[in-house]
Amino acid sequence: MINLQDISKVFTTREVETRALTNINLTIDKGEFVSVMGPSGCGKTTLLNIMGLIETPSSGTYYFDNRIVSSLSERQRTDIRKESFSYVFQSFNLIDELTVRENIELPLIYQKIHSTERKKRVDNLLDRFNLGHRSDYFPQQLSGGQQQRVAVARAIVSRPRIILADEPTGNLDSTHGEEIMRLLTSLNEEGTTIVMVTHSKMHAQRAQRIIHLFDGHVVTENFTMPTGI
Amino acid sequence: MMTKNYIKLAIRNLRRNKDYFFINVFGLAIGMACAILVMLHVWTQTHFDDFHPDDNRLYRATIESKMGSIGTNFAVTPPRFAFGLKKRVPEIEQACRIYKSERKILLKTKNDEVLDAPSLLFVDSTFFDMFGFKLLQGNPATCLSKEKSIVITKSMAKTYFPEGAIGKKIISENDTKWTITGVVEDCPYNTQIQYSALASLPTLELPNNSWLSSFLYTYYRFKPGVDMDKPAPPNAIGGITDIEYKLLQAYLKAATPEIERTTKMTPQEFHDMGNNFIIKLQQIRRIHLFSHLNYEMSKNANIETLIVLGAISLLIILIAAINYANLSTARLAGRTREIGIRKLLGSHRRDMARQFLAESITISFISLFLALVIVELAFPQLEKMYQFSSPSLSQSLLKLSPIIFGIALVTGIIAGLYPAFYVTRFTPATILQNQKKLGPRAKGLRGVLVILQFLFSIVIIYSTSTIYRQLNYIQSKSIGFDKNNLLVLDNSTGLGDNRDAFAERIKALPRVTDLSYSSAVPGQLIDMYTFHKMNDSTNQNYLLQVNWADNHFLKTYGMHFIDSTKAIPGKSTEPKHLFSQLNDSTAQAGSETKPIAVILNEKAVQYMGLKDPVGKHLLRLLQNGDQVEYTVKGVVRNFHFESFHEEVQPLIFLPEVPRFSRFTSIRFKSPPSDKDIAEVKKIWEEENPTTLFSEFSMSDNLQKQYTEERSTGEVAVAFSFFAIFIACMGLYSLMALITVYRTKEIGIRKVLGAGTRELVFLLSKETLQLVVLASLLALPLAYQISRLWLSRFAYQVNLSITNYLFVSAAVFAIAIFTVYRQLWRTINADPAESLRYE
Repeated sequence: MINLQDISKVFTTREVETRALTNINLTIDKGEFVSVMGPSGCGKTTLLNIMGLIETPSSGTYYFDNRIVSSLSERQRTDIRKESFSYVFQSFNLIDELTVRENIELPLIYQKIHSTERKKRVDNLLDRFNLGHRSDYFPQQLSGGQQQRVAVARAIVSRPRIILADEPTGNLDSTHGEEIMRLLTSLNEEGTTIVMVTHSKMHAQRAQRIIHLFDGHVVTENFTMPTGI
Repeated sequence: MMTKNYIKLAIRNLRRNKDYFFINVFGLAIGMACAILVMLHVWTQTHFDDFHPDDNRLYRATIESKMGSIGTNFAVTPPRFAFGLKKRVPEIEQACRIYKSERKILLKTKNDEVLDAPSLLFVDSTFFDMFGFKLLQGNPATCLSKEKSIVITKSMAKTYFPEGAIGKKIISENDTKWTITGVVEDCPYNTQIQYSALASLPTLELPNNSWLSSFLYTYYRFKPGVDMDKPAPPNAIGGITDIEYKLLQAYLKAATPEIERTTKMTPQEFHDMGNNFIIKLQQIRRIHLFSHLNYEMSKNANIETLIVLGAISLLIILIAAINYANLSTARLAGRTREIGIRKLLGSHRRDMARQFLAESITISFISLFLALVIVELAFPQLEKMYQFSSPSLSQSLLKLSPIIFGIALVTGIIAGLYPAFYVTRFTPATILQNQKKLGPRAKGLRGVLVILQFLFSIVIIYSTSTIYRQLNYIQSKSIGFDKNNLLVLDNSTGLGDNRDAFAERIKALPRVTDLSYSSAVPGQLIDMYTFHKMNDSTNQNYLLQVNWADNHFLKTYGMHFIDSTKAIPGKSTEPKHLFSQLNDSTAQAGSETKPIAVILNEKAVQYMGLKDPVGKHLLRLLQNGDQVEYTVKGVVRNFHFESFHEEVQPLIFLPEVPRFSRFTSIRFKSPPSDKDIAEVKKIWEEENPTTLFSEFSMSDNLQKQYTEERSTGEVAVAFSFFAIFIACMGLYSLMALITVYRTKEIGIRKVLGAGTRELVFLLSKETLQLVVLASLLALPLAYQISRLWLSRFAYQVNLSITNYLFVSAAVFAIAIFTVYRQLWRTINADPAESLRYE
C-alpha cells in the first residue's frame, strides 16, 4: 500500500541545511498497525508527513497503491488525502473557532457529503466517543483527553483507509492515553491501516511492527506479537 | 536616563522589524504630509484680512434684494450708500468706498512706459484710516483726498520711479494726469482687497447720485461698544441684526424718493408686491471664506472645499494611525510571551506601558520628520497647481508647528495606548497560559479597525469620484452657445469713432468669420436693471440681466431662438435677420416715442409670466423718471451666461449702445492662434493706440470659473490614491501577521481535505463581509461629503448608487488582491509547513 524508496528530506533555511531523512526504504501493507519510534528530531514526524502527502520528499520515490505520488501536484495530492488519509496530532490541531461538532464535520464538508448523511455520521461518533453533551463546546473548553477524542473522531468520520497518528498520546495522561490507544486498536481491528509515531514503548507495543529511526535512518524493524496474545 | 533607555529599546525593536517599521513610518508620513499641506492651505485661507486695526469692528455692507421670484445678492452698493448712511446711523464711525474697474486700465509714465497694474482700485480718502495697509510714503489722511491723486505700490515705485515717486505723474486713458501722492506696501496675499495701485475715487465720473444702482463696495467701521450681534426687533425680516435693521430703515427712508420715481410705487406698494431689500453686514475677516455674492471684488475661497479637503486629510491620517494600532496589536501575538516573561522577571506594568508608548511616539516623530521632507518637496508643485497663496513655507510651518507637533504626539499616543494598556493589564500567568486566547480577542478589534480603513477609503474614493463626475458633467453639459474659437477683446469702448473701421479690418482677416460688439459676454459680470410689463396693473418690477449687443451677437455666439418664434406669421426666424430688425429701430435709450426691439431668454419669459411673448411691450423707468418702451421680437434659448454655480438668470438683449460696448467678440474658423492674436493686436494698436489691448479666449476663460473645483479634484485624486495606498500597505502587513494565526488553520483544513478553491472562498468571504459592512457604514458619510461639495453648484450631477457599488467593488478587489498576495504562498505550501508554525 505504502512503498517508500530512497526517500530523503532536507530542510534548508538561510543559514543551515538540515537532513531530516536519508534514503528511507519502507513498505507498509494494508491493515497493518505500525509504530515509529526514535529520539526527538530523528525525523519521525517528517516521515509521517511524507507518507500522509502533507509534505513532499526532497528525493526518492513514493508509491501509494502502486502509483507514484511523490511528484503529484498539490491539487492531486489533496484529492488522494481526502479519499485515503486521516491524521491525529499530538497537539490535536482542532480549529479554535469551530465547535466540537463542526470540527468533526469538516472533512465531510470537503468531501462534499450531503448534510443529512454528515449529521448521521457525526451524531454517531459523538455518541460512540461519549461527546454528545459537549457537541456545541469550543475546543478550548474541553480537557486534553476530550480534545484528542474529538480529533480521533474527526480522523475517522471520513472512513479513511489509513490513519496517521503523530504522538496521539503525547499530551495526555495515562488514563486518557490508554483510552485513545484502545480506540486506535479497535479501528485497526476493523481494518484501518494505522501508522503511529510515539515515544511510549508501551503504546508502541500495540502495533504489529515497530520502526526505529535514528538520525534520519531506519535502524531496526521489530515485529511484535499482536496484543493480548 | 530612563527615557533614553526607552528610546534606545524602541529603536532596537524597530530595527529588528524593518518591514513593520517601514510600513508604519511611511504610511504615517504620507498621512501627516497630506494633513500638513491641507492645514497650511486652511490656515492661510482662514487668516484673510486679519491684519487691519480694529478688524472686529470692520464690516462690508451688502444689499440683498428681491424682485418677485428673483432675488439678487450684491456685494456692491449704491454710491450714496456709504456716507449717506454714516450721516444717519450714529453707530458708524467711519466709511470707505472702493470701486474696482472690471477692465484693465492703461497707465503710462511720462516716458510712455506702460505700468503693470492689473488691479487699479478707486478709493475714498478714508482708505488708510480704515484698513491696515501700510503707507510707506505720503500722508495717510490726505494722500487720496485730492482729485487725480494716486498711490502706487513699493515695487512699482522701485521699478518705474527709482529716483523717487512722490510728485511724479502717471497718465491714464484720455490723457488724464495723476499725481503720485503716496507709496503703499505691496498688497499682502491675504486680503480680498487686492490692489496694484490706489486712485482717488472722486476723480471718476460715476453716476454719484443714486441710492439704487449698485456698483461699488462699502466698508464701515463701527464705534467701539456697538453690539453687532443684537437681534433686530421681531417685525424685521430675514434674520438680521439690530444694526442691520437700523441701516435698512435709514436706507429705505433715504431711498424712498428714488424708489417711487423708478418703480412708480410707494415703498408700501413695492413691499406688498413681494419685493424687498435687506442690508447685510459681513465682518471683513469672514468675507474671503463665507461670501459668495454677485460682483465680489476678488475670487473668494470656499468653506465647503476646505471642509472636504480637511475631512479627506483627516481620514488619511486616521487610516495611517489605524495601520499603526493594527500592526502593533497584531504583533503583540508574537510578543505576549516576551511580555509575560518580562513581568515574571519583575518589570512593572507602568514600565511596559511606557516602553510601548515610547516606541509608538518614536515612530510618530520619525514619520513627522519624513512628512516634513515630503511637504518640502511637494509644496512648490501644489503651490502652482492649487494657488496656495502663502507667504513662505517655512514661515507658515513655524506658525503651525505647535499643531503639527501636537498631531504627531497625539497620533503616537493613540497608536501606542492599546498595546500599552491591553496587554500589560494581564498577570504573567494569564499571558503565558493563554497566548491563544489573546489572538482571537485582538482579532475582533482588528476587524473593527480594518472595517474603518475600508470605510474611510470608500468615503474618499467616492467623494473624489463625485468631484470628477461633476467636473465632467460641467464639461459635457451644453451651455447654450458655442464657446469655442472665440476671441474676446476687453476695453472696446476705447475704439471710439474707429469702431466700424476696426470691425471691417478684423472681418477682412481670412480666418475670422464674425464679429460682435456687446456690453457683456458670458463669464463676465453683467449689469441688471428693473423692467415692467406695459399695462400691468400690478406694476411689478422685474430685475433682468441686460446685454446691449449688436445684430451679430447671436450669430457670433451660435445662440438659438426657441421654436415658438417660428409660429409667428410674417416674422422671419433667421437670427441675423431678426436681430437686424432689432437694430433697425435706431432708437436709443431715452427715446420715449418709438418702442425698441428687444430679445429675451426663456428664463425671462418664464420669470415675467409672458404668454406669447413676441410682440409684448416692456417698460424701463430711468432715474430721472423718464421711461423707455420695448417690444419683444424674439426669445432665445436659455444659455449659461454665468458658471454652473449659478442658475440661468432672466436676461434681455437691448440694441447696442457704442459707449457701453466693452467687449468685441471675434469668431475664428478654428481656435485663435498666437499669430491670429498678434494680427488682431496690430490692428487694435493702429486703430486705438490709447487703450490697453486686453484679450482672452472665451473657452479658456470659462474654464477658469472651475479652476478651484478642478484643483480640488486633482488634490482629492492624489489624496485618494494615498489613502488607498496606505490602507493597502496596512492591510498587506496586517495579513502577513494574521497569516501567523491562520497558517495553522489553513494547514489543518488542508490536511482535512480542503482544496485551493475552498480556501480561497473561506478567506474571501471574510474580506467580503468586512467590505460590505464598511461600504454600508460609509454610505451616509460619503453622501454627506459629496452633497456638501456639490452644494456650490446650481446644476449638479446625480449621486448614483451604481457608482457607489462600483467604488465598493473596486475597494473589495484591491483588498482581495492584497490578501491573496499574502496568503497565496500559504495556500499553496505543503500543509506540514503550516502545521510546524507553532
